[in-house]
Amino acid sequence: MESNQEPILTQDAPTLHQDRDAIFQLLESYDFSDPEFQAGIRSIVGPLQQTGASMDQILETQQRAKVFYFSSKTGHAVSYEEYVEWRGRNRDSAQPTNGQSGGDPIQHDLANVRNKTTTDAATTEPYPASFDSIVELITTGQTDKIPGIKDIPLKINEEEPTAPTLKKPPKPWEKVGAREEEEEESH
Amino acid sequence: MSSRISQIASQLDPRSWSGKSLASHKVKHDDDVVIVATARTPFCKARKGGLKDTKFDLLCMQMFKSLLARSEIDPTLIQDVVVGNVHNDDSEYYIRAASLAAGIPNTSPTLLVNRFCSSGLMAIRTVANQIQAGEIDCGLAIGAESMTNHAGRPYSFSQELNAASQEAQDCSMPMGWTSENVAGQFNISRQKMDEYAARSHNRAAAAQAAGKFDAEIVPITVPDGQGGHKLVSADDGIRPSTSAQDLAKIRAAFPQWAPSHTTGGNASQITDGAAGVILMRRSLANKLGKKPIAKYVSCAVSGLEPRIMGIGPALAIPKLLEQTGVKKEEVDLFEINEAFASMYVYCVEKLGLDPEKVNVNGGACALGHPLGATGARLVVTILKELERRNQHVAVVSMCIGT
Amino acid sequence: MIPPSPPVSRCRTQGFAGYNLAWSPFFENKLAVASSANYGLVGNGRLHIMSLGPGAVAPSPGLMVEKMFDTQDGLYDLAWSEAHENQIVTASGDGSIKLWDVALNDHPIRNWAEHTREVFSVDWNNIKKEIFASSSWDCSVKVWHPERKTSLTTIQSHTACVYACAFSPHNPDLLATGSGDGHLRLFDLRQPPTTGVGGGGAVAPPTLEPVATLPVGGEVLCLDWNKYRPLTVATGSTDRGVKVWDLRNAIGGVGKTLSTSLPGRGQMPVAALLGHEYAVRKVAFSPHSANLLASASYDMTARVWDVDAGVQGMASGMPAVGGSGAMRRVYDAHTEFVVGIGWSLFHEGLVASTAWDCETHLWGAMG
Repeated sequence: MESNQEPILTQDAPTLHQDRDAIFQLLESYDFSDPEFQAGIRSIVGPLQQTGASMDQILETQQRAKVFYFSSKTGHAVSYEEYVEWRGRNRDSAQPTNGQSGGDPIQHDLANVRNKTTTDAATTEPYPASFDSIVELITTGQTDKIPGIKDIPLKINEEEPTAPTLKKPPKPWEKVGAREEEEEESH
Repeated sequence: MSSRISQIASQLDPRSWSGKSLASHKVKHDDDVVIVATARTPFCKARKGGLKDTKFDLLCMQMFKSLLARSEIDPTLIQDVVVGNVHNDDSEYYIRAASLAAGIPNTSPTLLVNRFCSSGLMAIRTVANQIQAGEIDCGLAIGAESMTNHAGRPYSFSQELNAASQEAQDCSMPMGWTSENVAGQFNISRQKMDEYAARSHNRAAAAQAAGKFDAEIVPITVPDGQGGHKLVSADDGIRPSTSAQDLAKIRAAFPQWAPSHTTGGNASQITDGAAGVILMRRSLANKLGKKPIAKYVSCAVSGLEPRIMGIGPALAIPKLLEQTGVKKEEVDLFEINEAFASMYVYCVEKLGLDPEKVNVNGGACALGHPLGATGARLVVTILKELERRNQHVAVVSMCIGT
Repeated sequence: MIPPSPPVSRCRTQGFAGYNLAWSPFFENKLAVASSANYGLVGNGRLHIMSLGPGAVAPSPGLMVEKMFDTQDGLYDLAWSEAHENQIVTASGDGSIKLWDVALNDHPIRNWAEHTREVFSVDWNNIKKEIFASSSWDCSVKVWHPERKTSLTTIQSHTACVYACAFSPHNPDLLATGSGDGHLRLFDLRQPPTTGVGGGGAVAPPTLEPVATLPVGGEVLCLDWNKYRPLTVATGSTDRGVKVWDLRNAIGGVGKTLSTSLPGRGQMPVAALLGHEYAVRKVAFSPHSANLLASASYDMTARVWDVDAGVQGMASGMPAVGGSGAMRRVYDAHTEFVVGIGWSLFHEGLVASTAWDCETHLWGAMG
């Protein structure tokens, strides 16, 4: 399976809030029953199920596929994370979508997903959630309150180091030359 | 650990997205514009002080000679001579004659630049830009003004201009009017203006007493007004023991314009003087074995309403910092020309500058403001102070008449 | 209709933020991850040795940690030995560089403590297989031999943090560095150190001067050599751009900092790939294709670029800006800063990325 599509997140994505609401609502009510989508989704979900992927994973994959398909077909650039965040904010008004019941397990899984946005970076807080708390403890001199820091004194391993046994394989770009030589010899 | 935090914060800072930073300016490149010599004349009270009998052409000649002597470079290397001057009549002739008389060869042409009070600064910028463009490798830039010899002719605009634009009409108003507009519009108290002005005098007096100005002044021999000559070697406008209370007693200079906070004590003095630098490409400086005094980085200019022109530095400085990627906190010293205490107060407070980093050796309230010279004088003074403090980053800014 | 695939595999390194990863040059399914507790701000470090289960590419039982080695301070970078299949070197926040034998347990077999500040980068020489280099916040770059107790060479000519260093894959004596002063430099280790002439004629201690110094823009956080095109280097920096540089014209001889024909202007990159929304932390050229480059960023994405697609504008003399044309993939499954990335040497198109979300992901560059 190859993907050479444009990425969903582009710098030209619309950024007005009211436009986003309209777009997400369009996504929610989009008809995914068309054969092209259904064929595609089967080709993805099938192998997932065979390898014993969890229901959560399958549902998420399905959801991502829908978002992607919608974006490609309509030209409205939407990312899966944005959609999930919008769903979280608009819980009550969210319509149930095809082939999915509620989507709560996915919401829960993604509760830790950082809120990313392509809009004006001045409004985005880029730091990880507990980064702030660690920074706080460090800058107020309370590093002793940071849990889990172990004392690991430097010790050089007393055991005898192993001896090298393998010849280093050539790198792919080193093999190119060799391959060319072989081809020349065969002519 | 906290340095790791600030390193990451700095990497994430949107101000770094322009790609420019102080760290990158600090890297030395062969094509950098560097200053290899600085000098100035004493600054003396117009009509009354040490240079009152020195005509503009002689002032220029002495300035050129002082700079050449200081720099010890071969004058034939100078490829352009740029002079900032605002109001001396026929200055375009005088600067050329003075250059030749000072020993600069006729192969170096002269150029007059006039952007009002910032002319000295613009002279330096003009030479720097030419080096940056690859057009020359070495140039001499001075600012010079003999306010004693200002003709004082009034000017007026054509009716069509005045009718077309209030702002155009505003350009005919005296500078004092703009100072009162700034004080009034931005609620700058008389008391604060006097405080800042007194600080200027006290700092200048302390610097003079400590001999700091001796490092930048080249004493010059000038007519003494009685047929002979004299050596002038010190600024004569500084009032050493001025206090804000003393200044408070001075009557308003412009009672006709509210709030009438500007006085002769909290405004720049009328002064004669000159200052200048020699700039060259770093590769040439290295070749000659000349140690660069400083690197010229960049210049930004801003325009605004003529009626409050004094606040100009509060616009141009942020623009410059953004343009260069240098952060305000990274600047060690500022020189903001004290055209009037009103704009000086406004700019320092609006930009949130540490007063201990601004005009640390006093300013135009004490030293005077020979219009075209001051821009160059600020550069000369600030570079000497950076050297004394072993610091690295300086910003010079001025308001411009219209 | 082809949606982006989910990752081939993920491996969680609970409590330890990933900093960089390195695929073994000897074993096709082995990779190591350097990581740090508390995002590398304070606390311990951990070296993870991981292996990819049988079957290599998806669907696969996945990437698993086989072994771990703990350190006092965070680990910021790592490099496998090119001479010994069990040896790997790590760069640490406390300035130490440790050599490990992964067949042993717990402790390193060597420790070097010459750097006086955080070591941000280590790189092993592809051709002179006993040599590796390190770069540090102490502004120095050092070259080492695993059997020697002290460094072979120290380069002192940087005046700002050196975030990245890498040997040319073709010429073992060429070392590129990326610095917080915004410049990419190239050093030729064959040259004798020059006695520097400081400003005003003061004599500086002898040190190796770069043969090329290029202004890049922003702080240069990472760099990598193109494996097929001589003297072609990519940089990632805080100005959010990934830029590709042809150093053939930049080299001017010892001590000379060259700009181009226009004085005062830096050399233009052959391609400028824009798209990351925050600083670029790591770049890696593909070992299989001359034109493919992967990048990792604080914007929580990793991206794959075709650097040739970004070269259209060359005729006008302007650097080519590759927007969506050059961007081949945006990988956005990480949920924190992505700071490490590397291509498999054995499975073409397989990429590993590691992030502050304490996860290492394997995914296909082309989906």
